[in-house]
Amino acid sequence: MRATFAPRSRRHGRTALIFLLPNFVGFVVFTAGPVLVSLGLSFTSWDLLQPPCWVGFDNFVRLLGFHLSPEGWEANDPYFWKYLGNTLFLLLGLPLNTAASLGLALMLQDNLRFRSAYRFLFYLPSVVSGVAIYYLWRWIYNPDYGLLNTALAGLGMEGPAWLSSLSWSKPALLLMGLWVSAGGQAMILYLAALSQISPELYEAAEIDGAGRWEKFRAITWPALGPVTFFILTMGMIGGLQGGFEAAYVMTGGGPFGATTTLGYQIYNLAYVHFQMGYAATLAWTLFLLVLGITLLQWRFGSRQTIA
Amino acid sequence: MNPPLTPLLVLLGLPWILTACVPQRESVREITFSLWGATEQLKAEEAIVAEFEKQHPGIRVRLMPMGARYLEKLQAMFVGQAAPDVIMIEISMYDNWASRGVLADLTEDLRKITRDHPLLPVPQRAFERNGRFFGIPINCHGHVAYVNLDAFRATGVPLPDETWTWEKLLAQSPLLSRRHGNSLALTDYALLIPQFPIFLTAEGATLFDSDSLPTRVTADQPAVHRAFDLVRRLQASGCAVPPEVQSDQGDFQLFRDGRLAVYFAGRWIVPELLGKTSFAWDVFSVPAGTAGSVTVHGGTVLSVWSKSRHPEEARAFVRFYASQDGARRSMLAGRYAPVYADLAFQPEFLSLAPPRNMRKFSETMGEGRARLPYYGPGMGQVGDILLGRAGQALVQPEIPVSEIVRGLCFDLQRWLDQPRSTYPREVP
Repeated sequence: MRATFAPRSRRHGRTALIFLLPNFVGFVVFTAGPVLVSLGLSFTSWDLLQPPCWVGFDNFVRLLGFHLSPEGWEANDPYFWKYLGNTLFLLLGLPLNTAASLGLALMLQDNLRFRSAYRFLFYLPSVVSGVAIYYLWRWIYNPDYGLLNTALAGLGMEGPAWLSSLSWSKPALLLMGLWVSAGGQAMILYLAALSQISPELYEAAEIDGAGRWEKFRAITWPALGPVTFFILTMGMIGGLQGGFEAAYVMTGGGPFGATTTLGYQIYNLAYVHFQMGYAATLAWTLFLLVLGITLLQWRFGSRQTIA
Repeated sequence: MNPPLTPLLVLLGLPWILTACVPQRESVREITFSLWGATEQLKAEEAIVAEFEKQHPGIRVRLMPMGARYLEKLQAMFVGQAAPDVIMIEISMYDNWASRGVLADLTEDLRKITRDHPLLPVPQRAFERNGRFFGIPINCHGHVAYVNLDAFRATGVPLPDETWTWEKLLAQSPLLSRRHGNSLALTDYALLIPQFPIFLTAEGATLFDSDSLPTRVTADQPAVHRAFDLVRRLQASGCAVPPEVQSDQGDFQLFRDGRLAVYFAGRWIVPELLGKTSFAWDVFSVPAGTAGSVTVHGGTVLSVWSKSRHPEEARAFVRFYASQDGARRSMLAGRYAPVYADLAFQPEFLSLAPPRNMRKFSETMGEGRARLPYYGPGMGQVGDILLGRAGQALVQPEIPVSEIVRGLCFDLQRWLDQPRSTYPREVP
């Protein structure tokens, strides 16, 4: 039988390969190839106009190393650590966004009047162009005549200079992120997951005298574990690479680098200062960081989810 | 049933035979010219191009206006070996590209057109590298102070004169600012704090041991401390536009709309003000600091791509555009000030009012009247470093100036220590 089917399956394999080939070639040329080239570039100094110059691990030492100065140990590139801090700070929005999405999903799964309209309204920011949203929020945050400060003034409070204050610029971006993300993909995923929970479980719990909170804690939350894990993992990956659009459109990375994230810094180094090698080094460092955190999440998070 | 071969060959060859019979047009060479600018500015460029094409029937110039991200687009074109033949370049990128060999040496072309019409000192200094030019300056005047005359008169503040200093402006600011509580003031704010290098030049500060071939950072000096201190005091007065208002509402719009008493810029904003203001305005020299009334300048050149396929045609166009005749056309368009001594002080330019004090633009190109902290590859990065530290001085008033200057020195030294393969030390 094997002898009979082998040529046919080989033929099928060849046909499959032919169909896969365009996609595969595209992947190699436009994704895998550039990724590998960028790895090579991270060991060079390259300004695009002159040939790349091999510098070994110099870029990595410059980015991640420390040196001894009269004031003590100092980072070779203190801005990298500052921007890493900004990136991690903005990640604080992830649990907030996730909680808000869950809250919205729980509200919208009930048989509310105009439920579809609410779902549409909450999901709307997710389908609007990011740039449009950022421009809108720039106006909302304007300290002179912005919506937010005008509202605060109505309450007798003086609002801060949201986007140009060192202490308020990052929270302002977090708040905007919450508005954009709460009703987005995460809410849709939670709604789908909630609809999969068997009503019998809730009925049984009610017979046992469980209240809303007990039902949520004992049934809903465990059932949503895999979805939450997925949302947090993807959010973490996206968050570590994110912040570019908001910084580019709203703050230019300022004030004094307070809203510059690693993603925005890669863009600046590569396309504003034309330091392709150093930008590639930063990109690979970011990749390793994302990989490390994701592996840790899988190692501990998935175990808890299964448990 | 073989097809007859001879008629088929004749049929195939017919187009070639017919085209051979058509008389050949005189060959026209097309060069490309990349530039930026608003619509009115482009109209002026089109007029210059039309005149050039009239005088040079064998050359056609295709304009390539590129608005946003001009530098990035050009860099990509250089990398892709598809750059325009003639390129309008702003001073911050001039050295970066000249040092990397993508701009042709135009020294001889400049000599030809300036033989009888010397350049003013500031444009000469701004673009000359080791006795050579990789672009021919077409605009290089300094920032002046745009003053809302009505706002000054309404509050009894004397108009700027030769004794005007930053300290005087600081003292006058509360009177000129409605936000500061003077209900008589016509303007919300007294001024918009200009770019930080203007304070460095006013105080006579230097950042490096050489402004074109630096080997050592010298920024930790009293003049730099004074410059940061002055910026802080202007901001702390409460009479200057807060940074967030500035970034959201644009710069010159605040002046145009009558919200600012004093604004610093070059001639390029004049067309944006003409017929659009409800108040009288004029220009004056920038206030003096310890080093006198020294300002900063911009600068634009026309360069030729070193790998242009039509270098002679491109050079001919640059010579035409940057010549006295071309400069006259540009100055009439309203944004540029001529870089030639004889043209900049001629009545033809000086009578192009408003503003009434047109001479102030020309004066900024005189010896020692305008300069930049650094001329060389990486000018944009040095500018970014200064911008960042000036921003820090404003948003973190609790940090002492000495600490800010220390940070500035660290940033500049770090920039200086970068691999020279990324930043060639000088234009070769």
